[in-house]
Amino acid sequence: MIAHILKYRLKCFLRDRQMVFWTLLFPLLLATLFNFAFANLGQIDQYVQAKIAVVDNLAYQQNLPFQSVIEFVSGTSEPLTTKLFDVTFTDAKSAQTLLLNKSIDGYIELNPKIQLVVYESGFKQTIIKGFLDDFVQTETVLTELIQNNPQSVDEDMIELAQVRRDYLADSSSNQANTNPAVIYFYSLIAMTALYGGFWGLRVVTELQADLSPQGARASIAPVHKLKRLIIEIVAALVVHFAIVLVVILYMFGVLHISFGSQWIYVILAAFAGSLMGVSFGACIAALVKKGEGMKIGVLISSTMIMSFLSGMMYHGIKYTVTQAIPALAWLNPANVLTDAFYALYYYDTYQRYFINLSILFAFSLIFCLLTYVVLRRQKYASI
Amino acid sequence: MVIRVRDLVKRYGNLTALDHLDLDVQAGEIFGLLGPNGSGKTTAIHCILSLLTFEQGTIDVFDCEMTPDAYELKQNIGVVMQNVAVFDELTVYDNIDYFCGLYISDKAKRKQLVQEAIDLVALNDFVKFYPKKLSGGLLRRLNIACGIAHQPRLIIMDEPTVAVDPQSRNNILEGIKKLNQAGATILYTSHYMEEVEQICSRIMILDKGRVIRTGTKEELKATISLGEKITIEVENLPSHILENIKTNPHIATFDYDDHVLVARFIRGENGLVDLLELMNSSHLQLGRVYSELPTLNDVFLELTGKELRD
Ligand SMILES: Nc1ncnc2c1ncn2[C@@H]1O[C@H](COP(=O)(O)OP(=O)(O)OP(=O)(O)O)[C@@H](O)[C@H]1O
Ligand SMILES: [Mg+2]
Repeated sequence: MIAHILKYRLKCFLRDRQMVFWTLLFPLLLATLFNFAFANLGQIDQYVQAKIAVVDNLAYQQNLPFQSVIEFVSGTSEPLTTKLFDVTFTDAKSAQTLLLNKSIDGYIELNPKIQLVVYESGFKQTIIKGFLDDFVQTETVLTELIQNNPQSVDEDMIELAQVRRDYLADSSSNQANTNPAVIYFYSLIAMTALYGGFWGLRVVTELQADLSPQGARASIAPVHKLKRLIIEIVAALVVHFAIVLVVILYMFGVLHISFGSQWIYVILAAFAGSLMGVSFGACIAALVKKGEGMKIGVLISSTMIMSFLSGMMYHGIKYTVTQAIPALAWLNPANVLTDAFYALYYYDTYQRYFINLSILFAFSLIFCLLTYVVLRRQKYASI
Repeated sequence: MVIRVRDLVKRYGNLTALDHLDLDVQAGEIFGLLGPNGSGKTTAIHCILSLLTFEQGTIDVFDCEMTPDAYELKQNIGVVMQNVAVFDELTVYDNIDYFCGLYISDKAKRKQLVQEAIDLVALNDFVKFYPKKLSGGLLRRLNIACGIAHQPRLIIMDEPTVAVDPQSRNNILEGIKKLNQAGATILYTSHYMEEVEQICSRIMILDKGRVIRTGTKEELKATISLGEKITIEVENLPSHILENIKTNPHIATFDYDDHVLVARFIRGENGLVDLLELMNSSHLQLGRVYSELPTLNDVFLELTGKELRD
């Protein structure tokens, strides 16, 4: 019986071309547009570590402040990824050769003024130049510092370098995702998952006698309503999650968006989001009386509001809400979902991610139970 | 008793759709619920199936109280709703198989039942069609098959043959009779009195949510004062004959229009011979002559003062 219902419901949902088309097409279209828009932004993760050479001449040996800065930003004391520059010390000739065969992005030569030699202009070169300009600007101050209080040099250098590094390597301390564009794709996956609401709406519409003739037939069938609801939700979830997977696969395979080692977590979050989306739609359909148009309207507008408050349209809102009314942030399933994705992006550990996922599953359970409570009162005042 | 309804009152706001309805359907019968649009047939069925709330009354099916979660009872009921309830994404075969499978788990048995249902509604040529590609009548036939494929002990049909052509309708009515002979009890609603007359063993006439009369068709016809209706095609009927007819005490009403005379005799009087003799005495050329027994429409007309048919 369970397999029978599941089989035919899957058949129904998969053949619902209109729904499959729209829930699939829109995210694919947006993903493609995002990809186009972020094509340049995608380079950020490559320049975060610019390769430079420093000509190890007498001028360099004598410029202690500069020496310490270079040592710091290329220091071996920190993990490789947090370094701003990958530095090679060499003579002027080899530096030139390295630059010509593009082994480095530029080299620095002191004579004794600091000079940057680059072969082409690009983002990495801009970064190196910015770094050097910054150094030169404060050189006077630094020189004074050295003359007055040589012991403090190291600390001040570290501070200076720290600020620069934080500014440049802001994107992440997490090795897997240094590309800030990924966050927009995460939002897109979350949005696609929320589209599951439409499937939930269909499920409930076809279970309630006052909403559809199919619902009347479902109501007179000798199948327990709870059992029936669970099977239908599962069928809707399978189809919807498949759609979300297609979107993720498209991002990965066609657009070459790399989720790094986190793809399994991305998929798990997408699953939790799909389940929440489907059950949310079912719940709205069950709770909102007055016709299908009204239900669709409430579903769309509530999803929009939740998405907006979770910063899917304008990023800043998320933080405003989280700071002003923390409870609202936690009670907004869309926010919890995007937060799960952001947790993947911003944190090294998965604690916050799993807390978010647990909340999502709890929401899904509550939505399903509410739906059942409404469906259980199977008699209607009017059909 | 298969269905037992007592004192059922159902209101939609101010409108009383069912007004103290009593209804008994006995095992093995085909019970017809006859009434014009809006008389409360569908409402009665929805109440019996526990889909609708009602203000007052009791409903038992198979001697048990019918409730929304009376799943064992539902197992034995098949319903053909007035509104077509099929899935657009499933073929004709899959639709029937799906609904049948909600009742019958055994695959081999289901296969056979589905085939029998297809035969009954003569959809053999359309099993691979999707509902969108079916004509209105074919869709209705699919709707019937979906409701009765599991061959339940009680079948409830709400105007199943609307929009179905006469030949298929006959097929379906014969099929219903067969299901009945195989042991199913049937509650059948319609506003086609010919159908109801053709298959129903007992009939209830409903109007504005109230029971007008219940009985076999003979019993119903016996309750009214009208007898046979005689129709004669005759040109230029002389006025003295019209006068004669007017004064005939056995003729309740008559009408002469467009060379057709229609005379209704009161019950028990056979006036055809008298009437023909009267015509012959004036050497009138007669066209077709025929006599009809009263129909359920006449019964309805006399009991409610209006036509059953629109
Ligand atoms: N959902 C509803 N809300 C309000 N009034 C309704 C509703 N459904 C039916 N009615 C009214 O109840 C009365 C009985 O309707 P019902 O559908 O039971 O009639 P019916 O005998 O099945 O008619 P038909 O032959 O047209 O199918 C009608 O007057 C109708 O207008
Ligand atoms: Mg009706």
